[in-house]
Amino acid sequence: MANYLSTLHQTLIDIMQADERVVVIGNFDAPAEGPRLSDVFGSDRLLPSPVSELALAGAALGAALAGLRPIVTFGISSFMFNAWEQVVNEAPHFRYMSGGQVVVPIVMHCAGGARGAGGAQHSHSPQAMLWNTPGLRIALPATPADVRALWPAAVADANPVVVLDGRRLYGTSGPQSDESCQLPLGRGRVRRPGQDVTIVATSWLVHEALAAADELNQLGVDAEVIDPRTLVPLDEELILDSVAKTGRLVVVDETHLSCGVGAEIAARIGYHAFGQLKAPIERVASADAPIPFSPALEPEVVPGVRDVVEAAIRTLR
Amino acid sequence: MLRMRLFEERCVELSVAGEFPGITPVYIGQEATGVALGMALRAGDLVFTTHRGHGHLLGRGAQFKPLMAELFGKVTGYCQGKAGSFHVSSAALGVPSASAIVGASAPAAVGAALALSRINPGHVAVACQGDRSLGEGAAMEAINLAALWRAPVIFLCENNDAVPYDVRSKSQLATDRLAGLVQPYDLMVGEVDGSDFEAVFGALGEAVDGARLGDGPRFLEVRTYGWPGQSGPRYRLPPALRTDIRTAWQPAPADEFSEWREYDPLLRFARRLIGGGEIDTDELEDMQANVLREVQEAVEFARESPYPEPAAAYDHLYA
Repeated sequence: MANYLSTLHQTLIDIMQADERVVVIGNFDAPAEGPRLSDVFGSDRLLPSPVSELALAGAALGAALAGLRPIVTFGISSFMFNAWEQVVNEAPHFRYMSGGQVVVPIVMHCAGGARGAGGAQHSHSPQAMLWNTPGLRIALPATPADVRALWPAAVADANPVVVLDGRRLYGTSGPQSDESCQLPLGRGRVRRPGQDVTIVATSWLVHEALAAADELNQLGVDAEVIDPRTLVPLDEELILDSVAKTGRLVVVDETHLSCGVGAEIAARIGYHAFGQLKAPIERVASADAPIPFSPALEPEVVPGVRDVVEAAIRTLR
Repeated sequence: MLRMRLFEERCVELSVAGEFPGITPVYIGQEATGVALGMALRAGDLVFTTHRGHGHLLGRGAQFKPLMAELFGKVTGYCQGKAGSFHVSSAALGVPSASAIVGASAPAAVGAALALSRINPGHVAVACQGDRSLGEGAAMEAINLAALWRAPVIFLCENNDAVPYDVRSKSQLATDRLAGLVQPYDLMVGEVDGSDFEAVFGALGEAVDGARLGDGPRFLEVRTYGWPGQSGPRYRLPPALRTDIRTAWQPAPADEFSEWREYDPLLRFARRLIGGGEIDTDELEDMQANVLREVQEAVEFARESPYPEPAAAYDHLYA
């Protein structure tokens, strides 16, 4: 078993040792245990980075156009908004606007979602906004094994890839290597097989969905939990196969309800699996409110195990 | 300079006539800088241009036909019609991107400069920007980052509102000395008269050579005259404003464009060459006729070229 953040550092160390074109712009959170990036690399690979998210993102883009393989991290996902112009209006457009003359092989990283008292300005889940931007790939590693599988694929990809960690994953642990994880971007994973209802969950909420599946099991409901792992490309086939079996779908994601990740997945699956659905698709999402500070309020807005269990049961009524 | 000028005067005509889709910002009055840029750079140096990039591309050797075709949105354009005037680029010419967002090219140039210092040492990146970019956070953040990284980047700030410094400029930045805004950062700063080709070439060459040798980033403000054919997004090209190289040696009428003709870098350089006996007026007239013919051929090429197929809208989205 390995810690998520320790695995992230070890994975990046391995990637950077294998390819000297890879540089890191911005500062990754340091793990409590295991080797850190800064133990292995100096300022030639870990570029000194001021609080200038917009310039850091732009610099990563330019470095990629000139032949490096930059990874830029914004730390907390909310800080990606400072770089938004480069993230959504520069990086995803250069290959397209140039008529295919260039590639933009960059990885943009941040750790998002509710974190416990992060309040409205440090708890964002920007994946739905990013998904509304053609030209980006989006990966959401939920476990150390997924970190091991998705990061090398993201760095090797010729396109801008956003890797979003759920901030609460940094305290979690899991097996580091798993044969079934050695897949390209765009391949999801059945995290728990089941027959009665399909639960599609991402990032931190994969773990909440698995806990919910355990509770449902005690109620006599056999839930299948699927982690698509990437939103772009989305493994629709894996979800459709599961829904063909269960006839019921709950989509669980931390973006806000309106125009969220769940809305898009529900729309796609609802269209293609209309004849197979036995109940309306349920969305479990953050409420349409900012993420509040108080420990009494945050769980009201942000979804958890209870919300998933209740949604699954509604599909079975 | 003559090639840039006559190409773009035709662009203005086509734009006014409604033949171009969208907006076509021109570089008229700034040609000395575009030419100097092309001459100061080597293969392998990278230019990050803006929505006003025709001059940077032509300076690096762009051909009229694919450039004109791109402005028409045709498949024979440099970017197969995906770019238009705002975003036209040519990776093969060392202009890998053109951002139409003010200030956005600057951080990309810093990152490219850093990359070049690693993988192609002795090469530089150039951030093309206008005077108003310094009102944008991206441009100022880029200057700080470049100074911290000692990146071999040249911030080429073309102030096309410098002369005459008028009301529209004053409403944008609370200073008319752009170099002064940048001076406190740890980088070399310069200022040059954009109507004087030899001065621009000297200053830009010095900046490029300095960055190339590893003494850090440079900022150069090129101060040029605001071309009177443009007023906001609107163009006009009355006959009296149209360039005729003969006005370099023949008297021009005293009119509202007299001051512009004094500052015009093209006429100024032509006068300087004639005065020095380095070229004669017949050669210049032939040159003008030849360029006009080449522009006409490019327009015909672009008009006759096909548009992209609708399915091409989904090409080049992902590699």
